[in-house]
Amino acid sequence: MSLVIYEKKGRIANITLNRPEKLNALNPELVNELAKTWVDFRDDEEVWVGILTGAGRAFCAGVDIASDLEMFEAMGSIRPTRVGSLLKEAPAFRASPASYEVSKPIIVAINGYCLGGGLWLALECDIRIAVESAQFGIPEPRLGMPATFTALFQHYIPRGVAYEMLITTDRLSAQRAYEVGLVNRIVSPEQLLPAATEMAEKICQQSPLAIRAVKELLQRGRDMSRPDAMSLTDHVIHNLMGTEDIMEGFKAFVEKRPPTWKGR
Amino acid sequence: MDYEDIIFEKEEGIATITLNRPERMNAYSPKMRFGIARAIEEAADDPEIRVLILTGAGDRGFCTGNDWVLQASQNPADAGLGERYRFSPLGWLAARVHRLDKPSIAAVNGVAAGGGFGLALSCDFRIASENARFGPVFIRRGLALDTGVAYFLPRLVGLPKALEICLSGDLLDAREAERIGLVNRVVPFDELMKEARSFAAKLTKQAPIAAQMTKRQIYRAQLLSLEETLEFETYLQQFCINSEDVKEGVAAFIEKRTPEFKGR
Repeated sequence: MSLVIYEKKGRIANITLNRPEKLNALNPELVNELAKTWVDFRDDEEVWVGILTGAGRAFCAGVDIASDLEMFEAMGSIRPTRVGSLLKEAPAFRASPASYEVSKPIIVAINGYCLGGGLWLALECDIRIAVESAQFGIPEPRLGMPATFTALFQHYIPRGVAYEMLITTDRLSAQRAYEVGLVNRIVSPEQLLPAATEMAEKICQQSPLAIRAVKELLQRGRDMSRPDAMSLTDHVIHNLMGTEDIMEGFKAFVEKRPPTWKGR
Repeated sequence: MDYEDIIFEKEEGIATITLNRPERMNAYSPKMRFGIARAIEEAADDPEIRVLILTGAGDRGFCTGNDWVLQASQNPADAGLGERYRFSPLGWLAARVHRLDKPSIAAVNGVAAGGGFGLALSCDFRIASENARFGPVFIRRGLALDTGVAYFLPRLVGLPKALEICLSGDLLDAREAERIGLVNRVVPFDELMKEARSFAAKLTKQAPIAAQMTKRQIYRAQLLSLEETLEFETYLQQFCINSEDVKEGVAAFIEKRTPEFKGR
C-alpha cells in the first residue's frame, strides 16, 4: 500500500498522505514518496494545481518520533547535499514542496490534526482550508527541543500568538487558526475536498504561467529589498511576454470571450 | 542518464563534465546548459563523488557562452528545457555550479568568454592551460553582464580590475589571469587535465563533511556579519565534532599516520 496516494484529474493533482494508522506521521519512507511526488508534480506540465490532504482523522501529526530518534542518533552521519540549513535534511523540510522548487500552487485540505512537522508542511504550501475539528499545534518542546521551524514560524501568524503556541504547546482550534490567518477558510468535513477542488478549478481558469509567476515572485521576493523585488518582477513579466498564453489572454479580453490556456 | 553536448564521467571520486561542442568552441546549446545542470545534480547526489571538474573539449574553447548562430531562445522554457525554468534568471547555471556543496575546478583549456567566463568563475578553482584566454566580452555585443560575473569577478580580483576587465571587453591571456589571481595556476596544454586531476585527487582525500562545510562557510561568511559568522561556525563545528571523521582525524594525528576519512 502506497504511503502517498497521487492522482491526477485533468489539471489538478490530488496528493493524499496515506498512513492513517499513524496519523500520517512523517517517517522516512513517506517522506521519500512525498519527495518523488513533488518532483513529478513540478515537472508534469499537464497538471497546474495541487491539493494535499491526509487519509483518516489526521492531516499529519508531524515527524514520526521513532524515526526522528534514529535521525538524531545518526546526526553525525547525515551528509548534507544542499546549501542552506542542515535542517533541510530534517523530515519536515525534506517533505516540503519548497525544497524541490515547486512553483505551482498547492492547496492544503486539512482534515484533522495538523501538528509539528505536519503544520510546517501545511505552511510550506500556499492555501489552507480546514475542517471545523482540525487542530494546530507544535508539541516539540514536550520532547525537549524547539520545532525545527521555530524561527520561521513567527512570520506566519502574529508573533505573540506564535510565541504562545511555541511555549505552551497548546493547540489552536480551527476557528482560532482562521482568526489569526493560519487557514484561509473553514468548512464541514464533507465539504473539504469539494471546497479545495472548487478553489483549484478557479485557479485553473487563470493563466497557469501567470499563476506560477505569482508564486515565484512571492517566494523569491520575500526576503528581497524593494528595488530588487521590483527588478525581479520586471524580469518575470518580461519572460511572460511573447508566450502564447499572454497573447491569448489579451486577445480573449478584447474579443470578450473566456481565454483558453496552454501553459506555454 | 544520457547526456547530449556534454560528456559526464565519474572516476575515483571525481566527476568530470566536458563541454562537447568543440567545433563551436563549446558555446552553449540549450541541451548543453541543461546537461550541465543535470550532471551537477547527479554529482551532488552521489556520495562517492567528492570533487567536480568542468572542462571543454578541444584546444580552442573552454566555453564561449551563448551560441548566437543557433538562434536559440535565451529563455530555458522556450528552448525546450521545461516550464519550470521559465522565470529563472538568465545566468541560472552559475548558481547551480556555485551551490554545489563539493569543491569544483574549472580546467580552462581555451577561451572562456561571456557566459563561459561566468561558468569558469562560478567554480571554486580555475586551472588554465597556456592557451587559455578570459573575458566577459558582453560589452562588445552591447550586453550587460550575466552568469553572475558581476558577483564573482570583484570578489576574485577587486573592484578596479573587475571594472577594467568588464568595461574594456578585452580578453586576458592565461599569464595575466594568473598574475591578478583570477586563475590558481597555469600549465602547458598537454598537462592541463593531469594537473586538474591531481589537484582534485588531493581534495578527494580531505574529510568530506569538513570540505563541504569549509566551502559553504567561506562563501556564506562573505554575506554575513562577524557575529553571524561566529554563530554559523559554531553550528557547523558542532555538527563536525560529532562525526566519525573528526575522531579519525585526531587519532591519525596522535598516531602520526595519514587519516582515512569516510564522510561520516
